Formats: sequence, structure tokens, C-alpha cells
Amino acid sequence: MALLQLKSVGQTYFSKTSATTALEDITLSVNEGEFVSILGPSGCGKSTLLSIIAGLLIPTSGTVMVNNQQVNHPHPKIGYMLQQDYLFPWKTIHDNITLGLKLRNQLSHQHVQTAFQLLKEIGLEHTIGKYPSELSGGMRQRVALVRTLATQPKMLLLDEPFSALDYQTKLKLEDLVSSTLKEHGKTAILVTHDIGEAIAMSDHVILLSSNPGRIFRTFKIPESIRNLLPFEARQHPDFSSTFQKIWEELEHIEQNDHE
Amino acid sequence: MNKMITNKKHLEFLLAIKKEKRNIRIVQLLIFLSFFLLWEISSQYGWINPLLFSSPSKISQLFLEKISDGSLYIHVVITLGETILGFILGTLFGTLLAALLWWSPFLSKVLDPYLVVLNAMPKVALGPILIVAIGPNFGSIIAMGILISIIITTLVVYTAFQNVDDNYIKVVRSFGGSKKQCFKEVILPACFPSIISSLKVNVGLSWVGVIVGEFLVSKQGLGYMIIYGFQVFNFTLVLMSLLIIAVMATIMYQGVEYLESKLIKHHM
Repeated sequence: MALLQLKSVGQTYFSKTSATTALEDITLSVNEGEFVSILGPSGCGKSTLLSIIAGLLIPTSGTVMVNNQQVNHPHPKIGYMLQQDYLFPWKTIHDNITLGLKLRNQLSHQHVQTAFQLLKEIGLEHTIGKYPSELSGGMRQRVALVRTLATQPKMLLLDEPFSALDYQTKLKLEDLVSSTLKEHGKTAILVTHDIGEAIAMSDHVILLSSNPGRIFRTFKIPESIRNLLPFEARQHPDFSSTFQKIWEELEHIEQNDHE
Repeated sequence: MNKMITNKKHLEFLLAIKKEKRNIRIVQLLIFLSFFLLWEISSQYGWINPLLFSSPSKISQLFLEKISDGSLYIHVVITLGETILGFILGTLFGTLLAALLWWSPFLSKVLDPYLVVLNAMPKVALGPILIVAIGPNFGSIIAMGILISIIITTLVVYTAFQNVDDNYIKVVRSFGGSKKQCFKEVILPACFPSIISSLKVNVGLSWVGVIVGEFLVSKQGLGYMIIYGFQVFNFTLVLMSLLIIAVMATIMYQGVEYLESKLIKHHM
């Protein structure tokens, strides 16, 4: 059954001088447990789409359904992870990871313990009393993952969560996020402009064209690399052929753009 | 071997820092002492008018006199109390007003020109009106202290509220947080440094407000001592009050700085 369904979603921004259509006629569905990446050139409305799914932005047209319920405010079953960690510098790691629980009025002992457990799984239990400024970029993004997972969402929205990290940390974190999400059976939507990352992490890749953002093509990632960790997937022979295919399509979009 | 050299260099470096710090202190002390010495000498020899500029010895004599007869204490306490109350309330109300503006963008657009005008206007000019409206008492002095700092606090804190990174709000909203929670969890704590720094500005401003207030109405306080000294042409009294104010204001400022270092350790 589809956990998430988008029906002809469109978004237009209005300013004094113009009306800009950022997204047009986006229809897609994501099944439970799937990992879907949304790939596209910058400015194609990827982040806008994520904000709409998160319920932070009401689309100008179309509907978003989670579990067959229309989304028009942030849904408790959806977690959102931003480009940078955005940990609150004035809160300890403890207070940061329990922020979602506090805001959702779920600060029960059991929920807090689950959050601690997650922090432990991710290998950062020793940071619990520290402040974000005492942690490295990669550690902070891991804490941000725990914060997002602490409210036990079914689906995670990842808005280029690795883009602010150095390459090595990024590769390591891809593995960690991928395995953590799989282990907990989470559904995920990743927004990225990194083709390799999209292939290595997901089951499906949706290619958006820009101006306005439309679904250009959908790729199925070969079974052979789906179940591998992102780092291993990158070494697999099928990886480069898939990369090639998506690369060509992206070139296509850019050519269309120039015409 | 290499490590030994590094250690030695490090020690030399630390020593150089220490030496510079000591030199700065020495020069500061020298300026302080020579100022008062020069003041004393020029007053003694009549290079400056001793009636007008008094002298450190006369001031300290008066100071001791006032302490021993207990009359100084009450003046200092009253002015200090008024100032502390004035600047805490000024900062508090200013922050509340800023919160209101943040809450309602409509209100903030409506009030924008009024705030600009009020900020530019010299608030002390409202003194006479305050006295008539509130009465020639403690209340109008406090009001003066608040009035002088509230608008600038509002403007500074509101600007800080607006400059908070929207992504923090996005985090709170993605967890279903309300506007109230956004304010409590993000806006207010993120702007703590700005609020504290407006507190620093307000320390100075409140002294101005309270002293002017006391000029106008009071029968007690350091402002009253200044105006009284002026009326009876006792400039020793005026200068002594001035020096006490300088010391008090410095202590308060240092206090706020201490508070700052304690409260906003982790904001960066």
C-alpha cells in the first residue's frame, strides 16, 4: 500500500512583479519501506516539494495524502532533516534529541529512552551532556538524525543532508543513515543533486526537470545494488551503468532548458 | 629535542603576553594617578578655579564626612535602586514589545514609523509631562528610566528576532510546533545575546534617565545631590556625586558583563 501519495501537486510563488511556478503536476506515490530519491538541477523546486510533503507549505494545487489522509499541517508520522544539522547551540545534545518529543508532548520515560537508545546505536552516547559546538560536523548531523528519528516517524524527508559535509564523512554517513533507516523499516525521500548518492541509497530515483519542476523520468535502481550499503553499491558494476543512464537524461533536461 | 624547543617558545610567548598585560595595567594606573595628582596640584596653586573644580582632597574629605554622618548611604541606595529597576523594566518591556511586533507582522508594519519617531525624540524632554501625570515622586523617576531605554531596546531586540535563521523555526514547525513554541524554543533563546547586549546599553541610558528624573523632582538621590550642590554653589558636592555615579555605573556594567559570560556561553 502506498504510504504517501501526491496527486497533481503544483506550487506557484507570487511576488509583486511576477508569479513563478516552481512545481507543476507532480504525481507520485511512495510505498512503505521504500527509499526514493528526487534528483534534479538546482532551482527545480526539490526543496519546495519536500516542504509540501512535510506539511510546512500548502500546495497551490493538488493534494498530498499520507495513509490516505490529507496532509495540511506537519504530520506526526513524517520527520524532516535539513541540509545542515540545525542543532540548537544553546541546548545540550540531550535536550536537542528530545526536542521533537517535547514539542509533540511525548516526553514520557519510554520515548526518551528510545531516543537515548538511538544515540547509542549511532555511537554518540558519550556526547549526551555536551553542547553542539563541541561536536564535529559529521557528529552533529548524526545527532540531527537521532533528533528526527526520536519522534518515531514512519517516513523521513532528507533535504540534501550530506551536502555540508566533507566527502569522507559524507560517504560514512550515507552508510550509517541507509542502514539505520533500513533497520528501523523507515520510508525515506531524499532530495539531492548528487547522482551517485541517489543511486547508492535509493530504490527509485525520480528525475525532475526545472522551470517549472516536473517529473521528467523515474528510474528503478537494479536489484543487484539496492540491498548493498551505499559505499559497496558505489563499487558495483551496475552502479556506473545506472550513473551513465541518469547522466544522459540530466543532460537532456539541460538541453531542453536551453532551447 | 624538538618538543623542548617548542615548549620553550611557548613559555616565551606566554611570558610576552603577561608582560604586555602588566604594562597596560601600569600605564592605566599612571594615567589615573597623574590625573588626580594634577587636579589636586592645579587646584592648590590656583591654576584652575578651586571653587568650580574643587579638588580630590576636598572631595574625599566631604565623602568621609557624608559617610560618617550616614547621609550619603540613603542617596546612593535610592538612586541605585531606581536605576536597576529602570533598566530591568526598560529591557523587559522593550523585549515584550519586540515580542508583540514579532507576533504580529501587521502591527509591526503599522508601528514602524511611530517607533522611528519615538526613538529619534529626546525622551528627557517628556520629563515635565511625566511629573504632572504621575506626580513628583519615585514613580516618575522610574518612568523616566524606563522611557529612555524602552524604544531602543524594542528596536534592537526586534531586529535580532527577525534575523534568527528561519531553518531553526523550520525544525520546530516540522515537529508540529506552534508559533508560541517557535518563540519559546527558538526566537527567545537565540536572541539572548542581543537582549543581554541591550541590557549593557540600557545600564548607561537608565543612569541618564534616573539622574535627569531626580534633577526634576526628587528630594533624595545622587541627582538631587548634584542639583542641590549646584544651587548652593557647592561644586565639591557635585563632583563627588559624579564620581560616585561613575563608579556605580561601572560596577553595574561589569555585573551585566559577568552575567553575559555566564548565560551565553554556548550560543556561538
